[in-house]
Amino acid sequence: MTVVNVHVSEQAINILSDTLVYNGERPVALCKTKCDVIGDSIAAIACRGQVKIARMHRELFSDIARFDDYVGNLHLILAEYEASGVINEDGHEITIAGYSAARQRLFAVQGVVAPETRQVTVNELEAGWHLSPDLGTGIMARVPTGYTDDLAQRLTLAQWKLSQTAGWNFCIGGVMTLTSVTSTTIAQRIGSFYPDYERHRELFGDPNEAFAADISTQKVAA
Amino acid sequence: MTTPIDAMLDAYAAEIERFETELRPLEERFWCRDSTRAERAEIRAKTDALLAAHKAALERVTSAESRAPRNARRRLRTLADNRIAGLRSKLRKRDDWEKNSFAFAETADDFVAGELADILEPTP
Repeated sequence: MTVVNVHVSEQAINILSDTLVYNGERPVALCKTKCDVIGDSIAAIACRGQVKIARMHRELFSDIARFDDYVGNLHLILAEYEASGVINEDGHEITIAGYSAARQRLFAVQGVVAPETRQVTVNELEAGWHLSPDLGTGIMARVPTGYTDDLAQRLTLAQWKLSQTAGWNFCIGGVMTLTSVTSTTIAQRIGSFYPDYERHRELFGDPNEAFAADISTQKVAA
Repeated sequence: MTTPIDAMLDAYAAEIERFETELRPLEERFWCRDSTRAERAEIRAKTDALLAAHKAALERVTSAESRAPRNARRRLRTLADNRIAGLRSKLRKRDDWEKNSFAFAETADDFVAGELADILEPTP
């Protein structure tokens, strides 16, 4: 179960995702990022679910190129993917964030193919935090509304620790990639790494290894 | 105009909604911290009956009666079979799961609240 945590404000949309890739319930690799900056527009997409569906979005997004066009067609795109049978029983979730030229503002939507009913929904993400997997409404009501990198990292560490402690074994791991979308730019960086990063790095190698080493050095030096 | 495929998908979604609506209060009670062993045994029996009825209903929805093309019916039937198998497996594992204190929502909330104690705002 991939982490895609989104924070929406008027000034920026921030997305934190992990980099652990899994097949079924088994981790098999670390990837560079699960949040892709693509197309000619200022836009990024992050998917949860099968890797192949994320690839299909990436290719189609590159062809369509314009953020507003992709968002406008998202319901149709997901309905076609669902009708063709490529989405497995776990369903699919995609978050797309970018600057909407049509709306003249930042805009983020989440498209979902529900695992059980197979219904397709596309909804705008309102201002504030949107965590997947979520931490429950009781907790989220108490999370500060503003965004900081530190808060984003603390929240995802809580997701990781809850999963580990409860024995749920959600596939969360690798490094935390932070993507910030503003009306004029997209910046992507590595914030930190999950506590079991070393084990996965030794098993699979890591395309972000150099960056993760930098973080580690900084932490030692600090 | 509603096609047979649309009608079949609508009926499929409606059946899942019906099942979930009936299941939800039972599950909520099951996972309440103060539920008793006897209550949970009774809920298990009711859930088993609900699941059997759900399976039969999904089979009806995806049968030839729907007049949807065979391929569409076959695909939806596979999803329905996987769904029933998944639900059965989840219910079978529930006895083990029940021993995990994190199965109870309150425990997870308490845990996360402890982890984030220094940043969470007071309860509204």
